[in-house]
Amino acid sequence: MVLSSFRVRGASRGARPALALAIAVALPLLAACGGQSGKDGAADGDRSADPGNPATWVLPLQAYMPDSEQEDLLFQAVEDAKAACMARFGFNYRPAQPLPDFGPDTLTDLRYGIHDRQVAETYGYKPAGDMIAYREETRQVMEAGTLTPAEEAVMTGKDSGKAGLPEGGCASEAHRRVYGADGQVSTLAMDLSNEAYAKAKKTEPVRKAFRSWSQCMAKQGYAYDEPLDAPSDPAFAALKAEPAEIATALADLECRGEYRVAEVWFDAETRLQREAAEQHVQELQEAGQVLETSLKAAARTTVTGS
Amino acid sequence: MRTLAKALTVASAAGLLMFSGAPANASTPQDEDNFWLGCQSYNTFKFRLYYNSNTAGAYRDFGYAVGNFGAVEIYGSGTVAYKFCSTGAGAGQGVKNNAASATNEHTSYGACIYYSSWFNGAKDSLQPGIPTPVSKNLVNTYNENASFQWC
Repeated sequence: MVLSSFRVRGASRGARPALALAIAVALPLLAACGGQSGKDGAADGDRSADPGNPATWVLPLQAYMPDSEQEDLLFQAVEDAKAACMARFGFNYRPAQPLPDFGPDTLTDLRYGIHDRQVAETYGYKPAGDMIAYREETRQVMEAGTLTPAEEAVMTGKDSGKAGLPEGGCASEAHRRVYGADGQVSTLAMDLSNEAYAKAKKTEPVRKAFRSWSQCMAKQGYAYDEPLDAPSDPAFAALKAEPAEIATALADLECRGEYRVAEVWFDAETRLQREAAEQHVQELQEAGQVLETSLKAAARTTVTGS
Repeated sequence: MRTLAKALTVASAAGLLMFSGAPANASTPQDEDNFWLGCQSYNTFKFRLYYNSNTAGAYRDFGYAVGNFGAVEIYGSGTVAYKFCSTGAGAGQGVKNNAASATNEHTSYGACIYYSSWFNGAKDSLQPGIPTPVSKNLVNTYNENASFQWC
């Protein structure tokens, strides 16, 4: 088993990212919230970074979401703050480790389906990597973080009997330290983007691309109505792709390319996201400000651990 | 969510990460656990899908990533679909494309639910459950949930 081959979130940074890097990570969001807005106040979608690689495309509402490095930073900061709090009560809490890397790389990676021929040649519709090893390593990482009852009590603030315990325990204190308050972080940008994704599927340009794709697949002997029906084919249940799945995925990529399925879908979603961003600009900017503040707090927390 | 290392992609495509222990069509311990323990009250799974909104109706628990809720290979049972447990509205129905809300009880990791199988499509994500479990009605993935992973 090749567990160590998975790259983990944040592994390249080491356990404690340097302040300079943390700030550099925080900057793109600040720029996105304030500087990359389109003329109507909403950021634009962009396929220009690498037009042939959907994983690099950027949707308008991503300006209000943390990217993968920022998510890593927030994750690490909360875990470091938990450890600092637990230490005050005499516990040596080891911060939860990043999960192994498997699946979509970015918000737009796999959003419109597979796109990488090299991956499809080996894995069919599945992400690159060994899902068996990935889940085993995930299990080990998650079990390594199991707390004793005494630790759990301090972490959650329940029945600990410890004097001076923060409200909601060390987990809540860590969350407040990074996010500024209790409660869930806004999911507005994600929710609006998901609505746009679903609506985009129903627009005529996308329907037309789907019909063309379906006809293209039919000519090669594959019967699917829509591109994302193919990976859900029960015949492809095996964790290791079999020849039939790989052949289907390769034909799929050809038909996708011929009818520009991902591009048409992305462009339709971009238009809908832009509309949603304009309609909700104030709420989004407020959520963006919270995120901006959180990233700054996270940068401080990962440096000081307090 | 993550930065997939190009080196991994290349190494994987070259077959360097091939798992040598499991023949095709074998189920795995994680699939077996998800399948056999998902409705047991004593499981320690931290992720739950509900048939109805607002964490109502029948539910099912998952401990490990699922590539396709509708088609999982289980030893001795062939290719099966995960179903909601036996109590409440929706009991016994398939989980795939049929869930309206979810709960994450894990205090360190988030839970991501994808529109399509094998982590394709848009996703709904639930933040870690601090200090109490976090629940969410599934927006885009309302009745369009096909796969799940910790994230």
